[in-house]
Amino acid sequence: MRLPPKSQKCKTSPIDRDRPSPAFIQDMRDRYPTEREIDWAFTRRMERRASGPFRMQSLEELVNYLKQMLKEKIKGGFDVTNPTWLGGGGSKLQMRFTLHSELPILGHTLRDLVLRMEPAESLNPSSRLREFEIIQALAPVIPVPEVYWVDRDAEWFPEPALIYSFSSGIAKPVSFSNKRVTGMGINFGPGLRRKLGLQFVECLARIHTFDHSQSMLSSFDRPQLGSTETALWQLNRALRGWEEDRADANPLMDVARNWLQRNLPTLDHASLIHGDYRSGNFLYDPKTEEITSILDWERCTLGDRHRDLAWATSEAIGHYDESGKDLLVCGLLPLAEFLYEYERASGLSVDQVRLNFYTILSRFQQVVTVLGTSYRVVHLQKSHQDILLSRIESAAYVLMEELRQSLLTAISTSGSATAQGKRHV
Amino acid sequence: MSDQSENAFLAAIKALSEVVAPAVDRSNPLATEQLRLVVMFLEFHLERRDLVRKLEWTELRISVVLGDAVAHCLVSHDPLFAGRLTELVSHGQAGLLATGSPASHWQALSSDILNAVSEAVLALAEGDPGVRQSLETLVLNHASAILELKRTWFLNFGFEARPESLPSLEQVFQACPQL
Repeated sequence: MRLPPKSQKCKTSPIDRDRPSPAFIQDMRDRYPTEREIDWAFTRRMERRASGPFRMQSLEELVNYLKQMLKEKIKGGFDVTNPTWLGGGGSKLQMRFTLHSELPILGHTLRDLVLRMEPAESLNPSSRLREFEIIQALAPVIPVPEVYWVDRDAEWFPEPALIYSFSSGIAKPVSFSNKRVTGMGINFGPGLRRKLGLQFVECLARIHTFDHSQSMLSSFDRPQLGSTETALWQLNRALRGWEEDRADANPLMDVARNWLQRNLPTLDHASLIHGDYRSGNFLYDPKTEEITSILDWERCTLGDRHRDLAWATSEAIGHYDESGKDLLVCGLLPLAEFLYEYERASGLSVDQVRLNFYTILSRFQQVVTVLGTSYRVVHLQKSHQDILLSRIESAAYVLMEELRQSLLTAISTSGSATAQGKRHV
Repeated sequence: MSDQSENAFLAAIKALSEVVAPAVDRSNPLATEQLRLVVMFLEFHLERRDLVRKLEWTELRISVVLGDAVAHCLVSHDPLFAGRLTELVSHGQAGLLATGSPASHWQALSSDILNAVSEAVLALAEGDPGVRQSLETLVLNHASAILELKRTWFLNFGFEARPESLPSLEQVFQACPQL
């Protein structure tokens, strides 16, 4: 096989990612097929990309949009009061508010709710309908907000939105703060981390063992057992994001892409997958030390449990213990204990080959998000958190070093690992 | 003529910290967080502004070393491509000697080399496994230099689990790979 001719290669790509042509958008869809709802979300943002920067709405404007929607959703009188911004996220715009309504039997009721709306483009092109459906499905088995309404197609709001109940609790303790960015390297302290860690694992086991066969998950595609379908969908989703968003060529990312394409594992058990399962995405009550809510389901899918396990083990998300020797997964448990407790709680095995694949895929996806998509969103001023995303871009090099180390091991030891490895804990 | 930009940076930081911050609504977490980040970026760029050209020049040097290694790796597999990559490496070397060039020129030269290396990696995805593995291992080994440079450059942004394990920026500049 010869390398590409000069006429095509060794030149900067002429692709205009700021103003993508219909041909480019179609080419991305053809080259990187993925789940239908994800394809819709990616296509939607690309078709609207050239429309200009995101304009930050005021609280008053959002309340007006909200009232328009509620007029159609609520029979009887209602009012919206106390709108305030919520912080803590880089991806979605969130407004907390109180809904007053008259219910047939209960009479006047107050509900503490959150409007979660996309900016024009976010760190992760995703679907509010999927979040709505998965939270609704899992409500009986783990602590999640109560979902009320979804505006998938931005019928009432400027962008797709979801409305759910406000969850009490905190994401990190005030007494063990550090200088790292929100949601990264949270230090819960020695007294709290194990108690929260075991609950964190227990919730993950419940998510992964939940029988979703009867759940209403219309926006999800169900991968075939024994096939590489789910791994390919995940990889294609990341590749599409990389090709549509990146600023520069990056040979390390191309090595990762090659390796991932050569080593797609088969699926042995289809689980609901959170997709961004880590500290920072759950709340807990500091008095009872109980997890009160699992949040941020925008990367959810039906697929391989190893994806959630691998995602959580990034060094950038965790931190080292007081001895400086053991990396604590999400600042909670050492890796071996994390995996041991997961197997015990779920009854599902941890397969080393699949875990290796999803570790490399997870780091690849994380770099796509913080280096590729983050760059494009900030460059085009597409979100309400451009300055936060600009900071997050610098995390890419930490994640790329993790990716590099994993790839060096994978390429030097196997070159082409099979997907049938056995458990290692 | 004195450089006024340092004064401007310091004045902006002071204004935001001492006048604007106290006036911001504390119940608005977006506003308070973004104000803090603006101050952080100003401090970062004030501290780094004299080193930006050195960063860009060093990035080009790392790309030149990578391009040269890849050209040698592929010379027997595809001499035509290796020749063209060597040409880009030569342009990069000339750029390194032109120390007065704008940083954007160094960026463009570096980008040309990285684009060529990327195309080679992708083209070999289904090619000869031996050549592919050699090229991929080479790319991974050479990536350590640029990643260490970038991680050290952005150290103060707070993403490192072990910040003490990284060398100083000056050490990284000095340790930059040689042709």
